[in-house]
Amino acid sequence: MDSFTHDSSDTKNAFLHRVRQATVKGRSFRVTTPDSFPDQLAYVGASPSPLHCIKRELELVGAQVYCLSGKTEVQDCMNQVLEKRAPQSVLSWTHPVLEKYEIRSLLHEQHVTLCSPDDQNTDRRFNAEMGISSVDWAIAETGSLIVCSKPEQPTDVSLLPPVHLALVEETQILPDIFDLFTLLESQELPSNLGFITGPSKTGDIELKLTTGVHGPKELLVFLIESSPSSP
Amino acid sequence: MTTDYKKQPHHEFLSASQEALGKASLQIALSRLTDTLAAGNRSAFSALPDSDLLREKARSIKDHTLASLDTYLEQLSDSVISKGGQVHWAEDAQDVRNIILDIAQKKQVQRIVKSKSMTTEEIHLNDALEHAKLEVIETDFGEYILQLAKERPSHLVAPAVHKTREEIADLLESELQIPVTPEPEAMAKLARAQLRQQFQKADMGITGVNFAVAETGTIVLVSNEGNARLTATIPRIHVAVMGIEKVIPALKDLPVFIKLLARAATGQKISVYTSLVTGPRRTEEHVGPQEFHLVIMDNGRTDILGSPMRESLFCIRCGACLNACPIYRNVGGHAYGGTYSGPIGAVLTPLYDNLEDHHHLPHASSLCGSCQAACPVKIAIPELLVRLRASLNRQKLTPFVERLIYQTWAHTMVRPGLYRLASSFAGWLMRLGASGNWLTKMPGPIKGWTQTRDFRTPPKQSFRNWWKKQKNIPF
Repeated sequence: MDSFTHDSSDTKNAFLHRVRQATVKGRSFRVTTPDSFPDQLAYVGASPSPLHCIKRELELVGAQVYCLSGKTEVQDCMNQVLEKRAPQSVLSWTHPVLEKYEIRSLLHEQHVTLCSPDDQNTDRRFNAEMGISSVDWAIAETGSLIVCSKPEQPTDVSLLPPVHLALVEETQILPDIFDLFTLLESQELPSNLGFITGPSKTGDIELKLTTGVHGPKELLVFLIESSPSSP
Repeated sequence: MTTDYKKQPHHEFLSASQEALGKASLQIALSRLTDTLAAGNRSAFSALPDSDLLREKARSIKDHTLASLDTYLEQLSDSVISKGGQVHWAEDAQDVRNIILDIAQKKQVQRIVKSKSMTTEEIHLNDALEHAKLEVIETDFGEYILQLAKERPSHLVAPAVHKTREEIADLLESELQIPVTPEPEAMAKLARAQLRQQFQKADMGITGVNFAVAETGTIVLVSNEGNARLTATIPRIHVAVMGIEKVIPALKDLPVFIKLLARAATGQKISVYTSLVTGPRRTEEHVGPQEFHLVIMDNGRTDILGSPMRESLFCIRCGACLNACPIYRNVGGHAYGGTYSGPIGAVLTPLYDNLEDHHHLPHASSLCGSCQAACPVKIAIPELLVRLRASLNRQKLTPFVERLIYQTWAHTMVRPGLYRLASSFAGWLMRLGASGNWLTKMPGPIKGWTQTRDFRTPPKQSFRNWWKKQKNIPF
């Protein structure tokens, strides 16, 4: 590999030259397709409402959904989850939704060790028993949670622990995948943008659906309804 | 390019399919494909509004991209570099192997985790990495099983579909020396624990690419298990390998394919994990790879791009044509003898490898059209197979006698007098060789026609003669 020049501009130019010649030749073999397509083609949207739709879709893909309204309900439900599962250590985002419901202080009260976004100890990150995040958006059509990597939102929170809990506010829900991509047009993409649709699944043994082979085995979603009375 | 499945190059497909037909466990495994994946494909598409037109749209995006492929590849490269990634150009399989070995050597890589990638299967990457004393672990559950079994994948999206749970349990027990019950849950738990250790130790993660967005320099990875997401997140170096046909122009094109891929593959609305990776981790981030490398590979694709077989480059590797194909569902993936199996494999293997060694594959189809009907980008697979059959004939790769028979046939079909003479002669011959009303054995080069079925003997009077004698037919 001594004379190896794979990233030189010569290699690139020769490569693209070959592709250009084939591209031109290939134009004689183009296929026939319609000239234009309707704007809303295959737009599914959310019926009867984004909240109803996402709950239905999340449950279809095997998530456990809690429909909540107001700070007291969210905190009570959080306490129940923590009491039932008694995690020793938790990975978490720093996010306005988590701050709004004071999740950090609830964890502190329950004596749960919080592994913060900048904690780089891989043992601690790999051994955490629960990941707590919000979302950047959620998609009602498919029941997908959209998580963008940021310094305060590490990708592994929704990936490494066996249980992932996501707090989703009604205002974060988009009806259709197409709506997300319309929004993304005007945004700088993060290094990693993930769609999460249910717990980790495999059908690799006899096509039998099995959960949790790599990612979280359980996905818990708090769907928080916006109401005029909520703070 | 590939040599390991060429032990019997000229009869491979036929003998392998004979063997497959006699294997009960494989037949049960293959019947599951029809009940689950093929049925899922049909119901998912019927539930999606305008799905047929959406498939046309996906097809038109692919066609448009290929008509300016050089421009989009250059744009992709510029975008990836502007996001802090590195781009490598690989003319063939050897180039890809050298590029990755070079990165590994320069960055002191010892352990590599991989997520399922047909492209890296195509170039036999694992053999090269292992030869260079690197530790390589496949992390997709099915691929992990096959790596332990030292077998090739037999399906595009369900690589170990040919194995029973008992076979897998025995394999895991003997390879890992850990007892496990033949229950999918228990085996998945065991694999998770084993593979987690590998992820934590790995220096490099290698993935394929489902789609690459030229406009933003984003590569898209789709998986249900989450191993692709782990592979692209945990190790300090991420290397993604793509064929040139994986590029799409803009971010707005991506939802078209996202809506189609999982529906076609498994009947899901969307796979569990879809990751859009745009460059390495940003300077302020603590999680994610520090380096991102994109390897753009040709490996014979430009030859296809400039040929009538161009449409085969639309393929998004969903496996729908395999599940729909009556041949695949009877003989399974291994019989095809290449990296890609099923109807699309019968097209791709002769193109990527060579036609001569795989001359049975263009004939491994009844041309029923189920593959084209199931395809999310509507590739005219039957037409491509017929084109390959014509190439076989042009390149004189078919037996001399066969070509002579077909030439005579063609000569006869355009001459009515000769045709009548020949058909009455054929009828006489068939009655001569028949026992009772059935013809059970034909001689020499045409013996294949009666190998698995009998023919009814033709009646003494042909339809044509009978028709002539009818007086009362008004037209």
